[in-house]
Amino acid sequence: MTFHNTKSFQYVISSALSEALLTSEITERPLLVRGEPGTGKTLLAEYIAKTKHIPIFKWHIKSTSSAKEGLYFYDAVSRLNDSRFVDSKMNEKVHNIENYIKLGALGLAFNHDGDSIVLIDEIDKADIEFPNDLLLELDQMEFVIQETSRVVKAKKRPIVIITSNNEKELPDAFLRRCIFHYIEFPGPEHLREIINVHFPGIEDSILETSLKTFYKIRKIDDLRKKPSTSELIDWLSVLLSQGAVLKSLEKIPYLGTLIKNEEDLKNNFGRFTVN
Amino acid sequence: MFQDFFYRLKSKNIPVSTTELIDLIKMTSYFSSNNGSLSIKEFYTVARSCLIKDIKYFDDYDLVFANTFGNTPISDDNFKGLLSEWLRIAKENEISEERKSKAMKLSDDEVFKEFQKRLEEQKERHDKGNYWVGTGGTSAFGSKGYNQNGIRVGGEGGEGIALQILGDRNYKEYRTDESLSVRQLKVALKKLRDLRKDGRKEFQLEPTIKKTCENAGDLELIFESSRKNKLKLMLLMDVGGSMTPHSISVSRLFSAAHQMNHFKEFHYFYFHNIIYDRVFTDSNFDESITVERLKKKISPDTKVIFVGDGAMNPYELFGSYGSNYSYSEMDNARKIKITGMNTLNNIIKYYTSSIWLNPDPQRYWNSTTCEAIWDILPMYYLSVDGLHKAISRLKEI
Repeated sequence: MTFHNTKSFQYVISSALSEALLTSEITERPLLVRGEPGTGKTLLAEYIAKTKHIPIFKWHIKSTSSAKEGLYFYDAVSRLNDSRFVDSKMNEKVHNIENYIKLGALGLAFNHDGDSIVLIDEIDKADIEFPNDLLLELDQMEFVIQETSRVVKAKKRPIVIITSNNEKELPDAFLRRCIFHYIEFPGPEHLREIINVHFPGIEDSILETSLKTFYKIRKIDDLRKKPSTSELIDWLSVLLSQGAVLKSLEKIPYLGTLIKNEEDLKNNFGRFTVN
Repeated sequence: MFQDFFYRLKSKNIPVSTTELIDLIKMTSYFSSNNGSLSIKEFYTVARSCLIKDIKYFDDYDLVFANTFGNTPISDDNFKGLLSEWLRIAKENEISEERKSKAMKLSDDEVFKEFQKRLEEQKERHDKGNYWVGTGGTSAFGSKGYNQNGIRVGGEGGEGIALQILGDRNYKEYRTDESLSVRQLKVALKKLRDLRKDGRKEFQLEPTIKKTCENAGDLELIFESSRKNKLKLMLLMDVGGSMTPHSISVSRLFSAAHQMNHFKEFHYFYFHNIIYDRVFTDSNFDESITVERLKKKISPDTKVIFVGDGAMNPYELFGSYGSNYSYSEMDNARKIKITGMNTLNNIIKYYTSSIWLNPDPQRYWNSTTCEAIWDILPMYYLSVDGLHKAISRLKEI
């Protein structure tokens, strides 16, 4: 049995999520996805891109991100640099500001000829006002490049997936324009399905013991970070590739893949045992 | 029935607006024209993703859904009928041809727009008119009226089977008006900030390069001062006695505030029931400082949050020397009589931006002492929602 293929793309979509997805397509509104970390919020966008065979434009939000970054960036530094060289070809390039405008994820998607998908990842990382700055662009699907007064208008309305970890409350005006879906932590049935997709042919005994152990850990109330689907998959792939055996009531092997907080490890040391 | 559903959500303080309702109508009409119709279970998820934008409202949504569609059981077939009823304009025979021709002709898009406009304008019930949303008229909106391109609003219920999906209340723990975790509290406290640019201006390399390049090489230096949270916060916590059952929620608030490292200053003190002449620096009441000293030490622009249930014997609040902790030899010698009420007034006069958080729900705030405190201080329930409200209030005062 080989498991080296596990990093390739696998995703199991729940029926509620696919309904929400359809809703967002029909109402032409962005889909806002929330849920515990590690439940596959970001992967959803890649899954859609893959199944629909359309390009994906990703925009990962940081605490310093501004709304304009997703639209375009004017690279004045290279323009100045280029202008130092006297050369008729270069002169032409420098003359036209348009050559130094670089489109961001939204801008690229607007410019794309066919269907496309835009992922705005972890929108709550940015400043509280950030989502409000995008209202018009997401509503009208167009923006103006100030330096050249060119209007970039979506040729085809892209699918927009926005993920959020609930770090901050998002503004009402923004929420009003979104379709909302909360990815729940999968129940045992769904999780079994997910594991089977990732590790086809996994032995039943390992599957059952690992699932039981996993849910047991999740039940510990005062964990700061409960392990989620992605941790379970990491853990299983280590277990399987190393050929580890799960023995009842023994210490959990490769615990570091499941528990990532030092305090959690210290406070609950005796409790991390195989079910 | 569907209109009713929408208004019931609204009455539960879930922020739903016509925008969301129109999204839902779009979805239902899409399903009716393509896949036949939605089953009640599908309607449940579709309506939820259109109308509800935060998991904290999911529980209320479930309750309203069960209330609206769960009382009289509905089969899927019946439900489909109800849905298409909702979307279809009812042709009533009583309306004359003449009135029919006068009915407004609007395209689908216009109908949605108009509908939204009118819901906003309309404040009361209207029947038999030709403009407002009501019954028996020729307006494009309402029920039992006539307009070919209109939207039917509301409808009657049916019968069928009970709903199973809603009984479990899976989302109860996500409610923010009941639950309280350190993390949620921290998110709430994060709002408490006072960012102002001040201090010495510093040279900023990145903006300077950008500006200079935009000037085609003409050097332009950019100086900016950094932004720091200038907010000062003081927690005054009631401990012991009737507060013991609340010790977990109070300690969660404390650790949330303590873990926030973005306040300029954070102070905390303890008292029992009410403050007399001093507050304590530890919860065992070993070390204390006088209120007068406190006022010198901590500047008056500090925001103050009192935490306590306000429940005590009335003489403790209104009488002097009410509590054994207040006993002060010096005061005794000078025969100064301090009541808890005096001190409280004294403190909030000095620290004008103060509020009181009560770990008891509002329905228990009816004791004499609690009401007296509530009279002079804005009081909020110690929950995530309550803290959010308290913080917006603190930011105003």
